[in-house]
Amino acid sequence: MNKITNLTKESTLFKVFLFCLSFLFFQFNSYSQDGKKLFKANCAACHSVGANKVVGPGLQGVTEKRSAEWLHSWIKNSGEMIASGDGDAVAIFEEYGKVIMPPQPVDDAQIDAILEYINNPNDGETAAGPTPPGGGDLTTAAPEDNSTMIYVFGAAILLLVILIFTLNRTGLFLRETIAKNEGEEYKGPTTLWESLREVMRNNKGIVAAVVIVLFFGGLLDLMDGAFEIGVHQGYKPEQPIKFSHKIHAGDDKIDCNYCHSSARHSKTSGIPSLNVCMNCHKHIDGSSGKTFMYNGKQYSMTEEIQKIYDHLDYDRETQTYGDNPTPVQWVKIHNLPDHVFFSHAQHVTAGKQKCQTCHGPVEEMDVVAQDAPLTMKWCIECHNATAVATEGNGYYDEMHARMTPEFKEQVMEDGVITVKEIGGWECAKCHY
Amino acid sequence: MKRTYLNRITTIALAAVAVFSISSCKEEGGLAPEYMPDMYRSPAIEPYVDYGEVQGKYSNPEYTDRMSARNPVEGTIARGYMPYAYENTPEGYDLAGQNLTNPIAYSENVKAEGKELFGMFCVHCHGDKGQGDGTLVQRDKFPPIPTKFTPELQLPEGKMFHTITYGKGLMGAHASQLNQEERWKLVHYIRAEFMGLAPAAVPAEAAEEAAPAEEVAAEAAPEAPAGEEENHEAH
Repeated sequence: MNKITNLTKESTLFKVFLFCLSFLFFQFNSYSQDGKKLFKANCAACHSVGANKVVGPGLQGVTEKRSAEWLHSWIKNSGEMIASGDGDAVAIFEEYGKVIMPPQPVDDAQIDAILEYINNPNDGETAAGPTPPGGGDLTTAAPEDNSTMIYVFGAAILLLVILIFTLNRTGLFLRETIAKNEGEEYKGPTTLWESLREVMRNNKGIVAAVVIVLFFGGLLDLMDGAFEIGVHQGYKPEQPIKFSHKIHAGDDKIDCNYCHSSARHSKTSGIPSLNVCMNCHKHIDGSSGKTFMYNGKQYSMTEEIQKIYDHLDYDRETQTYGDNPTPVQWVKIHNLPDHVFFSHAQHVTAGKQKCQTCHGPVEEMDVVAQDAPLTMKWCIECHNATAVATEGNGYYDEMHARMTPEFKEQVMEDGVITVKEIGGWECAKCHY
Repeated sequence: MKRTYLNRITTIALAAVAVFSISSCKEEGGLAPEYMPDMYRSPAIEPYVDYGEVQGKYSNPEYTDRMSARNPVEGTIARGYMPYAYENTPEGYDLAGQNLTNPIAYSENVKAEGKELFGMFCVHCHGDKGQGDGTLVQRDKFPPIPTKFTPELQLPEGKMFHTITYGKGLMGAHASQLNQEERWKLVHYIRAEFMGLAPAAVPAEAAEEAAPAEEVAAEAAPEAPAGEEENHEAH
């Protein structure tokens, strides 16, 4: 208000009128919106407009708790206020771990706009209304329902059986009647089973052909089945927390290595411990109430994220961890038998392979399924086809310089060195 | 005679049907049948499988503490682990800024590695230009990152390292995902690429002279084993 009184002293009535008009205009139309923008750009990294603590305190009702003057000087330079010994300022400084709120590059009008937004954070948003459940780009089609197919198929088979039965009955009855009419003794079949045997007796060739086809077909199928033993391609278990790789790796484009950080250094790729989840989910707490799709079903983000907090014994309100955390029992998907050695570091760091080469398009899967068969054939076929990343690697330059000409010709004949050629097909490379 | 012949045919046909039905079945949850499951799921320790668990059954029912991912024994440290001397307090932050310098000699290779790491660990929030506009910000999941890496930003490298280690504000700690060497490489990359502070690349020999090899190795010793242990806690 000081500003306005100052202005009236200095300027003409017309100017004041214009100023007030523009002021009103701002206030009613874009004041709060500007405040929202300013808040997001300058404050939201540490404060929320609700009551919950983020890094600094939640700002709900802060304009009632503190005077506008106090807030203005705090926002511009909180360090100065603390140094001057302001009681409230020092109390906040102590409460929030003695971290000074950095001075913000905003002027008085902008601060007013921000405070206005804090008072009415929902202005201009009410029209949009809450997100409808399952709205947005997360919904996908329901899984295909094939139960109808089974019913149709079953009904057809039932019809056929009834048809065969009645036709057979009629046929037998007719034959019996004919025999009776001609005065002969009826020797033919009297039941369905007997007439079936009669048909088979009269068509031995066809029966033999059917049996042979069935036998060898069965044998082939048995062999196919045998090749499937221990091959879990397509294994797609649901996890205890409905974590969607499609959202995290696909939509948010978070690199695989962010969570599976030990893949670069270790034999195992590493299931992230929950502290890695909390790097983001401390802030993204599911309070938006959105839903997402997982395995064709809809889940609430709030509930699933709450599971992380439950396992960590974490209190969202006070942002403190309890001392009774429990492990998440994720279901292991990819499993190699004990008699084979595999190292992620070797493939990811040294071999510079993409995760997707073996794991498939994980960024498109909400539930992760085993994409590759993980058989030995699959391993060594890739070892045969993949060139070693020799470029810019002094070790290989040295090695190639030392090769005998004959061997070099043999290895380098196609211009590339495959994994097979440096021992990727040696048994003991993986089995020892 | 006819009877036995027919019986044989029926038996073979039935056997074929049986083979069909057996071979096309898969176990629950999409798992294929396993011949001698001990070879696939060992009773020995395996990552992310409970102790003594073979396909959901336990070899020793008396064994109650089955969690395979455990914390290191108290009082032990993992091989290669390097302690970090500065505490996660505002004072520690300032001290790190004053005292810490990058132990890794800058080179184009280091910058390239830093770039790779930045793409893995930073880009989804800080954006590929370091201007705080990564995908998470664009998708409105995070507020714009207040720290923008520009030549105007006055930030000593020690503070940057400290922040990656412990986190700051909304940013979480990344010590479990990045070892000390990787954190310093990231600092190099960010300063060289976005803040215009590329130190003169030191030729390999001169670098060795300046900092004896052992010292570099010790200071840059990966903290990975410790990080891995933490990772295993998830199970």
